[in-house]
Amino acid sequence: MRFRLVVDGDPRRIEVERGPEGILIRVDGAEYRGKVRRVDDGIEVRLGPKWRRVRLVGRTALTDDATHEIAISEIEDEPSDRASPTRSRSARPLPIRAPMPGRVVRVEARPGVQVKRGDTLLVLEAMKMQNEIAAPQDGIVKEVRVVDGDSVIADQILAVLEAH
Amino acid sequence: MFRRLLIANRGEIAIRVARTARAMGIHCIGVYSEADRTALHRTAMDESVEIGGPLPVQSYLNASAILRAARETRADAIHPGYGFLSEKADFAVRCAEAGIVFVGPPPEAIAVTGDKVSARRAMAEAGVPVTEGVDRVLRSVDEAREVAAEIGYPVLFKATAGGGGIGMSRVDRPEGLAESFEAAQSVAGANFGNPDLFLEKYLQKARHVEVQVLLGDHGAGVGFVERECSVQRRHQKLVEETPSPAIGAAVRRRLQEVAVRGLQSLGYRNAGTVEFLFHDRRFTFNEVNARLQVEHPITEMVTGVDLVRQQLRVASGEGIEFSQNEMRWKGHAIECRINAEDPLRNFLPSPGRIVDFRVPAGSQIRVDAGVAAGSIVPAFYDPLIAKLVVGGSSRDTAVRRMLRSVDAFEVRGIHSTLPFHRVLLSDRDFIKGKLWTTMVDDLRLVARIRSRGPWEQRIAEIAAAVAASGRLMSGPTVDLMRSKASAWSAAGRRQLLAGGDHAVPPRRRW
Repeated sequence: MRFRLVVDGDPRRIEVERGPEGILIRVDGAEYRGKVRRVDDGIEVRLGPKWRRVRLVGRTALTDDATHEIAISEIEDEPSDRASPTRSRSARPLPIRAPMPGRVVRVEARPGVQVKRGDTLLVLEAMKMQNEIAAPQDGIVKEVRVVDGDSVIADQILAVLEAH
Repeated sequence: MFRRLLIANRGEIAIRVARTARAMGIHCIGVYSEADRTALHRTAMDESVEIGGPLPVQSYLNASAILRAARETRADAIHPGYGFLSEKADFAVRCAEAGIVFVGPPPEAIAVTGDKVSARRAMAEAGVPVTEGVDRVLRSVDEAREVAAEIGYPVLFKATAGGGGIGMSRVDRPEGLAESFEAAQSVAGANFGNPDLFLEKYLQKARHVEVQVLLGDHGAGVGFVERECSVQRRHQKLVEETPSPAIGAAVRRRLQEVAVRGLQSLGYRNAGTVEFLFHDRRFTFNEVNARLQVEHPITEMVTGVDLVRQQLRVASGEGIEFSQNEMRWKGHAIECRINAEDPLRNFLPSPGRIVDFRVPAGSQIRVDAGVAAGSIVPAFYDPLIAKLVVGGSSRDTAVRRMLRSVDAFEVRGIHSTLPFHRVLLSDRDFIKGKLWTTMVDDLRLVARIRSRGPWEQRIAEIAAAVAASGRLMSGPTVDLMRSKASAWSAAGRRQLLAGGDHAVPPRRRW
């Protein structure tokens, strides 16, 4: 499952995977592993050495020492490969997202073309750095949603791959 | 002295230049692009002028728009800061033609230092030791192969028009030479409009050491205690310190003497820096930076000299306020560059809105920031948002103070290089002062970053709670967090639960 979580104005992209040993949280790509349990008046989370209580009340998250304003959006149930090995075998659309805001300086992907994992799909420039956006796996380019010179926002879908 | 100074830059350096200029009673005029209408540097000026679109070529690199703004605001001088127009000889010429003083070296000196082959040649003629290599542009792969065989691998291709580490390419074996040559040529052509390359011996495990120089009107000048800037990534500096832990008094004197002599031979004036590589107890010339540098505050910290003040004095004909014999320095200073980049994702650029910005304070702690809470960091410009500079009586004291200051520094809303600095400052080699230009890669420092700090752990905990709460079960866009409780009851709960151990219970307040 993935969603966008804004805590006190600080936006992060969250990915959550649940397994038998606990929970895996990715916050903008940084991994945290831990456990979660329900208690009477909220949820307890242990990512470090200690259990911490979090209560969600409306648009706030209450912890032992602070109150945080939270907002959740863009919720998607994208099952990960590990969670559903059967589905990942067949072709499925895989959105390629902008990892940060920037400007498209070069589009190399063409619809219908077969690409290999690691092939450059397009180049995004931000802060004087050119960043190659590569195919995360082998597949066929289904759609390209941007053209040279476009400004994009973080998380925007740039292209769609049909992975296999 | 000038009365009205236009500062042709943005971010922390525009603010830093304005601070000194305004203290000298000079009226400061800022410039800004469309993307910078709400930028912090505007508030540091007496007035500011919009000069064009968000792309650098439309605004901060747009010499015509900047000169127009200077004429309209009756500026008598322009300070270019670093980057943008600071090392463009034609811009300096156009300033002179418009009757406006360019606060920097003469255009002829900028032209010589901007071409790395001519800079090498000029330095060699002035008796400055240069890195083994060629003093001419390489016309073909065959010529490159011949030269490389002569001086021995590994070698480094460099763009003659290069800068910022762009267009450099290391070659370890003859087989890789042709490919590297072509790749470096195309990178140089795309970035600088000039594909010309030359070649130098690649020095392994070298230190990057540089000397700040100030030259007055008749070429009399001073060399400062060296800075070491070996902590780099993709040839870009991340941390600088002064003095270098590897250099003793005798080498220091030689470095200063050679750097001053080298710049004098070019007819150089004002502030400039001569960069060297230090290797096997020997130093060789690398390049000249014909501008005020990002890392100038560490030199200011150990010497007490205000380099911008001296720049303005030299440019206005008043001269430097001290001589080489009067130069004193003491202690140690370090600078960490705080960039809007995510070190956990290979330094991915991280523009966006800063929602909270807390800086450390205290004795011998200086923060030159271009942003504040609420600032937008646009994607159009370089990622440096702040410089954290600390001093100490010794290197150890300074390193410890830096680590505490990094811990007290918090940037929320975007990612920053702070987690990288935490790891670097705890590294054994760094603590011992054992530095070299590829240490960040060789020691795999980035892989040692475990987290982005306690604030992000808090976000992860909230995310885990949200996921476990079952509120995200269905539908992609349903507003799942709408509260059933009224605003009043939520406020009541908040007060109760936000208290913790230190809060005063409500009923005991009067």
